[in-house]
Amino acid sequence: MQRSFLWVLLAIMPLSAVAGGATGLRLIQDDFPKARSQALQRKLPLFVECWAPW
Amino acid sequence: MRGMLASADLDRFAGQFVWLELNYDKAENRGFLTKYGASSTPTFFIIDPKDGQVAATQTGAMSFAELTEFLDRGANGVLVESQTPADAALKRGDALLAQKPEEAVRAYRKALRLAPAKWPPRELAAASLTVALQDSHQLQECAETAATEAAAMNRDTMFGRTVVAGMWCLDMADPAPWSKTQGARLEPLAKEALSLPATVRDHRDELYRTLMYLSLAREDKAGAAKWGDLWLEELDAIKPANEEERSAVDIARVENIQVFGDPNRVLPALVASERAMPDSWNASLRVAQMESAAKNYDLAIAACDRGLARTPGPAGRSWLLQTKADALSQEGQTSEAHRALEESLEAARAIPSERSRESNIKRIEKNLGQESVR
Repeated sequence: MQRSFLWVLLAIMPLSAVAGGATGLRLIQDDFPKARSQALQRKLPLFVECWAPW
Repeated sequence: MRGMLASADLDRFAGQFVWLELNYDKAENRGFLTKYGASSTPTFFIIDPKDGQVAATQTGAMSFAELTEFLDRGANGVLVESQTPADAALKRGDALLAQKPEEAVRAYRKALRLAPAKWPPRELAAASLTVALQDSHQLQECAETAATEAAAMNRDTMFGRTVVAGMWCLDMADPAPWSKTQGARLEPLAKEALSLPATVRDHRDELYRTLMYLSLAREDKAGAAKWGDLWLEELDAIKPANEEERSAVDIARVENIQVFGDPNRVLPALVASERAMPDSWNASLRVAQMESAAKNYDLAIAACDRGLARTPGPAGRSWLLQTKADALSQEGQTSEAHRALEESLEAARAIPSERSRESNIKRIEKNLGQESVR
């Protein structure tokens, strides 16, 4: 039991570490209505970056 | 900048905002761009979701320190109920900057007038005032304000931002009766900004570019070539961490040569980038622009076709087609050039940003008119 718990922990840890490091912020792409609605729901300000591929 | 958002360094802000990235060239963002405007990219906003009001805005790239200050300011603008009159005027200026820069000028001036001694955002308000003066084409005032304010600033990113705006106002107005006086004040500040490690990459590019333009305005080709060489050496030394950085370096290379220089100097790097970034229409466009400048029009046309196959948005498609039309025209293929221009006009009508859409349509219609006269 202890061994299998350890295995599960080891299997999960790298995944969560990768997720935390590479996507520190949960970015919404190209959907202002969705982002505004989330911001309203969570009572948070909305950060917007307008970028261009050039 | 987008890479900065993906970095773990912003983790402390992760739960304090909802984060949104909008591609300036995607049709689904037309509603946002029409409402909030964005005259240049990148443009950043902090928006209060309750009333949709802008709490803070910033145009152009930011250093990491500037970005964290911007986030703190934006969060305060939304969440803090009572603000000082100076803070409220600064917030009002930010809300107006993208759509009504002449009104933003008045708000930033008010903020500076009301500012208590040692008001922390004083330099920010002065830098934003200079940008608003530039955006509202009050060029003499912009150059004078930039020279006066920057001289008194700490030598950090706000200094660079202010000098860049002042230098552009100088270039946009030149020659004007006041150009020489303000140039004598701003040029040393621009050189100083280039010597500072705090000056961010985008500002460095703008400073080199404006120094090249100023040299050419004085008919000093050797001076323009000197600034151009220094700039290219700096760009060549950069090892881009990702495609976004690589594209930014390539764009700067093209802008350098478009002011003054030999396109063959940058073409090998651009061709290598186009191969390395097979999905980037922008990489093909840059090759096309420089092949055209080198009078290799058949190669420019081929690069435009490769770019068009890389699924650009409306602005990218319109730009590629205009570049192709120009190259076709130079080759004497007038009916093909006309057809490419008509296609570029159709693409331009779908550009999400109103300002960009209108300026493109105007330019293409003018070119189509000239074509029919020929």
